[in-house]
Amino acid sequence: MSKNKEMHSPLLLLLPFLLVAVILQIASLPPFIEENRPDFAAIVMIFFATIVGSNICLELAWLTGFVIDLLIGAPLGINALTLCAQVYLISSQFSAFSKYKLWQQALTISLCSLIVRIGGYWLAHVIMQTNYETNFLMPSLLMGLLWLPLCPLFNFFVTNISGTISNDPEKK
Amino acid sequence: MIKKLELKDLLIHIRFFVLVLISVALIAVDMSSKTLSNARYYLETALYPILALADSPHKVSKMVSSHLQSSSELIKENEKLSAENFMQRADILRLKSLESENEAMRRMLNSPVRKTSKRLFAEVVDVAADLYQRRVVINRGTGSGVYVGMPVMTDTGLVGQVISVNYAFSRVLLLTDNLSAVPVINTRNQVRAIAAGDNGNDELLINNVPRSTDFKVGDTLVTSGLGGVFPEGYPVATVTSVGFSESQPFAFIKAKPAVDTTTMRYVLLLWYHGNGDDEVGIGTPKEATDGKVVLRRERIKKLIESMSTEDAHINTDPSEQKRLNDE
Repeated sequence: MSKNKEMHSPLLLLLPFLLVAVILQIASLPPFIEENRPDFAAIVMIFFATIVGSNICLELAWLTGFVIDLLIGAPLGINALTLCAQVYLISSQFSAFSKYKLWQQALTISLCSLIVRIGGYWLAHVIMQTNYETNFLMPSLLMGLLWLPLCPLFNFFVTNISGTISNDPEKK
Repeated sequence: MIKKLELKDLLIHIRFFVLVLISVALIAVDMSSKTLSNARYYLETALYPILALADSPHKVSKMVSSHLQSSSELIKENEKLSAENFMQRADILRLKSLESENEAMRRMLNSPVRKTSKRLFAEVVDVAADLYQRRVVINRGTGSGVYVGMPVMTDTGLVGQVISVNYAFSRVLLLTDNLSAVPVINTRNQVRAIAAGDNGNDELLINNVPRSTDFKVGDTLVTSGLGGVFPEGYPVATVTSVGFSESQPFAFIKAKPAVDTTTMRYVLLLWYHGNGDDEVGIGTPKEATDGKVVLRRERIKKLIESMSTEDAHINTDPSEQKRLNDE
């Protein structure tokens, strides 16, 4: 039984999670969440890049961002860059991320998201002459708060469906 | 083991660097030229099912709420709509006589006669747009003859114009977007101006108007028809504030758009060309090249129509379509 479980790749779960995240990213939500919409796709990608330890998450994050660009009509590459930057920052600068406590992980995600959001806004301002915008903190905080319930939930799905979770040091 | 880890670290930096380079190149090409517009056309069309899926909760809630309406409420609404329809029919009778009178007078003055343009009904797809742009998605594309630059309006006034189009849906640039500028005329004194969008707050700025120009709070601004993009006479905005500063040569005027774009659900697309030619030229769908392509396109069309059954029902009714077109 356990052998069978090992055969399922956790990446098989990534695609449905990603689809739901992309839909949440573009769907119409209640006004408060709409104004401070957290980056759902980034949460999924960060989970699979750090906790599951997938190797192709950087490229997949870029591709997901590219799809979001097409869906929301943004200049091609802008969301791809910001999504991939969030995954890169966390997986390259916080190599022991999976061993952090949950609240530390949430705080790290919030800070990285804040930095990337400001960078993304700066880029959008340079290429599109956007207006002055100050709403960066709330979406980043919401993203950190969402990590608290979502990370255990994803963990549950990954361990129960694929039977593997690679934050076990021996497997790593 | 340590070397392997170092190599892995190095690889992630290289991979990120390559992705950054690709992104910057894509942004530069997308913003500066139309090289990617064809690729975008096909990719966006292929992604339409995701947009439809994202819009489905809104559609379902609308359907449920309409089913939950009691019969007495429906009867009340029906009565109200019948009365409204009756009044509007009476108005149309008057409008027709005024139109023919106007046409006769224009002929007498040797002015070109204005024709009523063809219209198309479309539904707003309730999905989020880019954070830094003011745009909406509508469920009509080149498959329905929509073209870039097409004026979009509702029963209360002008909404904007189509800025990008693909087979299944289009994006509409709202009047409040930074890139939007509409030639308007003040109905009170026929003063012309340009109403430009202001992304930050959902209002329009009337730019470059000298301080001595007569603008008052409450003035109605309608399209002037200059520029040949928007037809003349459609309500655009109402002036909400007029300010002056001694140090500035121009007045500081703000206006509130006639249409509340946050709540609108349906829009009308107008076939309009500044030269009075109503035939669609630039907006015709891409030509099919062979039988296989035609068959595939037909299949895609059927699939897209099946995804938006509600609006397909509205538009495939030939008598309703004819009536709309005739109007």
